[in-house]
Amino acid sequence: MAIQECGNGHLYDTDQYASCPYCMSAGNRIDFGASTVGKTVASSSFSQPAAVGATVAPANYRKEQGAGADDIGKTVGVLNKKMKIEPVVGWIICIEGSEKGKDHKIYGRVNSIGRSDKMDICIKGDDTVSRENHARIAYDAKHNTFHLVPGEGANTVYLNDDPVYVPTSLKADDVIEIGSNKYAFIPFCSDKFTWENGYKQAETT
Amino acid sequence: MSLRRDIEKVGSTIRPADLTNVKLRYDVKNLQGIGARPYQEDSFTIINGISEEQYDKFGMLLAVCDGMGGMKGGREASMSVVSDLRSFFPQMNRASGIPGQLDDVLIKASDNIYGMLDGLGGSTAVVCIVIYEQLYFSSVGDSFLWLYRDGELIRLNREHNVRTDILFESIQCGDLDPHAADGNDEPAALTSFLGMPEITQIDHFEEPLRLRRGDTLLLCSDGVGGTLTEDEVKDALGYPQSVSGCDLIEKYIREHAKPNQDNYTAILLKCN
Repeated sequence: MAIQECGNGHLYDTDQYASCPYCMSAGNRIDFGASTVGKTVASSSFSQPAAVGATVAPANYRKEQGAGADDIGKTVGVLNKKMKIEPVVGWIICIEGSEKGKDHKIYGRVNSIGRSDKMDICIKGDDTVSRENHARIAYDAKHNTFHLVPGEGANTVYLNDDPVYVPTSLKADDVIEIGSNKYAFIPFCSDKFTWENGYKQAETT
Repeated sequence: MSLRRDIEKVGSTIRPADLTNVKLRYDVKNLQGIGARPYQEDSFTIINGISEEQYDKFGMLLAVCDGMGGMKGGREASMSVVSDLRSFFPQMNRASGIPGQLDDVLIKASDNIYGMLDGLGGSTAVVCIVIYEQLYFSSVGDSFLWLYRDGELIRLNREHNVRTDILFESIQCGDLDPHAADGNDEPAALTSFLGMPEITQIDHFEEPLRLRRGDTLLLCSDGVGGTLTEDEVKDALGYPQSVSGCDLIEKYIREHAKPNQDNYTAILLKCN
């Protein structure tokens, strides 16, 4: 047995293999610089070609990045395309209920709210919150406005104690009631600031 | 969240007598298979794994990276991490700050993937550096790092996924139910991986672990760690020679014959 280390750091037995069996195309070094990696299909000892149980991306990143098999090229937020980090445009902060004191970030797109981990804003430990889409908070970068959008489910969302059945515009310090929690709405993007143009004062000075 | 629990568990088994400098010889082997997948998206690399002279002088680097399935460029992502690690290792400052340097290179690798694939691909990474009989590691994602010592199997890293988060959260609430995450739709969805805009979690040792004669390390992708039972892993690591350990791992994978068997990759290091 003669063990050898190939140029890519794979160990193999030269008595068994003429070249590294782990490098994609035997005999060639992998060109790490290029992004054209050969999709060589190696012989498999298993027959079913299945992708079940593959390492999957986190559910909460799917919407933000368009990652995930189903979402490729789909829901990439407008702001996210321009900036590497998806910028926060506002927050909701729990002022009453089991989550009191906790904040949730609002990103520059439609933000889903519910109990499920798949939701952008995930409210845990409250069974009176719908699993998915109890409500949504939408930020429109074009007009720099926020709206509270009711969900499809049986549960009602309240804005300043009034039930919300149609998309309703949000302003600073509005109180949103989701399940048994009440949240204060704090915008970051406003008349004074947008990610597109920065602070208004900064432009004049 | 830190890895303090595991460090303590490992640390407590070190007795002062072990701190005397005993020179170890290393026996490294690797294993890789495609499973039931159309592509191999795992990548791995070993630097200075064979030459005693080289690892005595410069140390050894071992890495297993699992490219993200169901996403574009999984293979590209895992290979790009390997490439970043290979260019980093020769220039690493061996005198101090190895944990920080290792984290930095993973963060850089993550940024590179994000720049290359724009969030449409990613990779896990479990990286070990063995230098002067000391073990350093950093891990991101759901790949595995096991230490077999004195007949005991010790998991050194956490899986960064929804299941871990749910369990952690329920433990914090005083609920010790091991099935707390069972109701979740995607318990295996990663909460931290290379290729996301900003890595949220990295596991590492603050202080290195001194390796002992008889220790065995296993770095593997979830194609191994998610298929084999702990007893089977223990069995394979307890095997006296690393090559047979790899054979045993492969044998167990075949025996499980999972119809959706993931790509599997393992690096086994025995300290003699």
